Amino acid sequence: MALTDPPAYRSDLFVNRENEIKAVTNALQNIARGDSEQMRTIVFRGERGLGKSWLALHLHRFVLREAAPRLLPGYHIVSLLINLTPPPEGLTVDKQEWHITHDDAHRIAGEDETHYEALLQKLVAWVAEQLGIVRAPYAPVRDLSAWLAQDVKHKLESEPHLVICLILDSVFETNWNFLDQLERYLLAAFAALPRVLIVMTGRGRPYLWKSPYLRTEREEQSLTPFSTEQVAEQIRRSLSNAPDLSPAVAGLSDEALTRLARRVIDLGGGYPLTNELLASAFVRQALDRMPEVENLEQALDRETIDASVLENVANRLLEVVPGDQRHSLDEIFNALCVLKDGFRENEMPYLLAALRNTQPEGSAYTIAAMRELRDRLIETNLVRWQDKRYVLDEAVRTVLEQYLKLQRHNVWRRLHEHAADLYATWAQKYPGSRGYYDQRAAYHRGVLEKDAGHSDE
Amino acid sequence: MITENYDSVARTPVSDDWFRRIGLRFDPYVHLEASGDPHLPEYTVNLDIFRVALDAVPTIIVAPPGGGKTAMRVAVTRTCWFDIGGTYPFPLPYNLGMAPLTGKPPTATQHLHLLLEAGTCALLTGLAFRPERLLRSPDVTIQTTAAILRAGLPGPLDYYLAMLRETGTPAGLTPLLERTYALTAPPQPDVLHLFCDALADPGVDAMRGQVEDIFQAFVEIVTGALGFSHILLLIDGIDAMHENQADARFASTWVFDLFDRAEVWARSNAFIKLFIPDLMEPAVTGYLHHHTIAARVAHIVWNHDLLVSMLRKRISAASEEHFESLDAISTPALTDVERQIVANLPPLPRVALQVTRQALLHYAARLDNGGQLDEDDIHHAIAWYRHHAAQHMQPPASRA
Repeated sequence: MALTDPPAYRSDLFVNRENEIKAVTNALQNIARGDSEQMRTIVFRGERGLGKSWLALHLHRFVLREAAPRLLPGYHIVSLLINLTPPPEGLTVDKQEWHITHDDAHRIAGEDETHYEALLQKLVAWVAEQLGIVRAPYAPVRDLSAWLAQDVKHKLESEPHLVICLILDSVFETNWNFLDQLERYLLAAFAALPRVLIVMTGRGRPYLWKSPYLRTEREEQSLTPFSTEQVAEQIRRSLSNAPDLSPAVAGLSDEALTRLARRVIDLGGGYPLTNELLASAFVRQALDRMPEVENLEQALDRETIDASVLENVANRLLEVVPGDQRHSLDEIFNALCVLKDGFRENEMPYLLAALRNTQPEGSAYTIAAMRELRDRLIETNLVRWQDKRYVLDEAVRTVLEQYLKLQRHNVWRRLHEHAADLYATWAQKYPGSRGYYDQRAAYHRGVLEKDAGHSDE
Repeated sequence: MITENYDSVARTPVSDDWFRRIGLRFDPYVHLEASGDPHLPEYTVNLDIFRVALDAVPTIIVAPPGGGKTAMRVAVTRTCWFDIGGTYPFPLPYNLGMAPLTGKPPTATQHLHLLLEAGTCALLTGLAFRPERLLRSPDVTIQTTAAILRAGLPGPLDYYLAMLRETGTPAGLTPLLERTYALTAPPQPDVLHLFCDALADPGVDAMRGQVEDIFQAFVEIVTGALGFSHILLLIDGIDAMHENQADARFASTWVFDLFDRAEVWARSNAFIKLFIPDLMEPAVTGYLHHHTIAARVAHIVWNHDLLVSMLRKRISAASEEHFESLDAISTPALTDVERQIVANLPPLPRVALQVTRQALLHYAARLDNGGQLDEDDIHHAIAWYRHHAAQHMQPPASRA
């Protein structure tokens, strides 16, 4: 079954993130009051499909335009949204929004450094125009940058009730050489100014900013997956607004939505994008197969998700991997998806060989080969170093493992068996780390036992 | 025999290619001398002190030898010039180690002459990297800047401008005028030519008058028309002279005259940031207390957690955040590599850098066999430290 596209952002479809919104409005209030202790940069980090772009849009289109002015009467809040990924289909670009084009994004990803300055020239000129500071829009970016910094400073001095909020979406995923110049020409200057709040969202490795204001005066929050109640609410709002599903979904009870939400979380972990795709597929699949005499609630309770749906969800989540890399990385993504606690280069050859049902011998399994593969994985921003190990983006890992378990059950079992054996061997061989490796071996044995128990039933 | 073994490892040539093969863009532990490290701002730790060093408050920053004073000063300098024309402070590195070796501390007037020279060296070098800051200014600002530069620079302004025109890059000024001003992102040669043309007005003479007045004009133009928020007088190198290393009380007298002016300077938006070794702290703070001079005292305090964080930040920067611990390239036997190393060392960053580098060099010697960093490398590095601890681990304070 083919997946339908998730809806474009609308404020009435937005669910959750009260804490994140409060962090932004509190910061604005404190900055307006001149509180020198207030962090002037807020970073929202999160995995693929956690709703970072929706949060950025919601902050810009609703919170800063409608909610924040009520909290800061008498202040003039100017919010500028800079999106470093092209807008999804169906999203209409609104005022004071700058979305990178597909062509520009492609050239940046392709490290076309000659294009960086031209693009930043346009961006800096756009920011100047939005703030009503227009000198020479066609001047070189270095000149524009030098003017802008001082002109914004003077504007803030002459307008004591002006607060500027720069929202940057999808920052860390962008080419880092480009980010170096983005900071140099735009962000570093803004970060040093009073009454400017910078909000960023990003996935994967966090960029190392040079400006101390971006590095130290920064509040960082990790977005978390939705709870059952939040998933149920997301499903209700989203599917009620799908023209072809609306009448059928409108009749679903709260209990039925909660049951559906639980199943969606079991399969996908509660990540908003995955929730949307899975819930929509569940309902469509149930409607397609439902006998006329049955109601949708009964059909949904009985429905099991097709492997093809999970495969499509996985494909959607992995679409951020460049096309030329996608096929060659599929195998290693599958091999590593059973390692919930992460991995180092040491596990990679064993798990890859287990997937291929062979021995980890030969040039394809050397440490050098694994390091090359590791670097390619990291470049996708779906793998990052976290707390002593690499971790696969949990939204992606969950779906990949569910798909493997459903579609290639023997392979899935073999991967867990090899992981259990490997960690048990290391626990014996490396007494200094025995506790950790014993724990990992126990986890994989537990997964296999639970699966065997279910299979017996 | 042991010494020969250590030395052979220490001499092992380690190429950039070797670092690339383990996933690093550069050797993150090679620069013990901060001014030579182009990546320094990327891995600053001790961030609270870093902010203190930037603030508009007179401050004494205290650390033991090898405790990161020079690194902090260099990182602050380069950070302030990272953007093109914003409102960061102007870093004026004043290295007392470069004062004439008369055996006596400079007088107040000598300090002012040296500060003006250091300030104009920094200003010309910085503006050559960021000419847009000057070129956007009105003619009168450009002329005043040129007059101050002519008054303060150690050589004729026209000589430096000719050099810029000839080379088409400001990089040549850095070793000549101010080594910490090894800035990135120079302008295009044609913009640099415009900059030279703007400053080369033959009708502008060197500013005349008392050195106090010229220095005050320097402060006003930097914090006014040129747009910097304030000036940081980054005073370092007091322990670089032999006589000062031997006598902390005598060394302190080198800065008393500077602090006598601290409050006047603060009113003009110029703030002393004095970097001193811990042995000098009682004498300096005693003088300030006695003369009721307000200055904040901040300590660069290293502990094992911070050392671990420093070593990891360097790995993180060198690997472009691909990994932030040597654990990533180690055998399964090794975890918490950095903590294992620093647990055996005193809490000094320079020592931690040297010893961690020894572990990498030992590993480099056998990488061609396809190996990973292992316990032997760590044991070797710690044994190396113990062997050399008494004699060689603490190079003298930097004169950079």
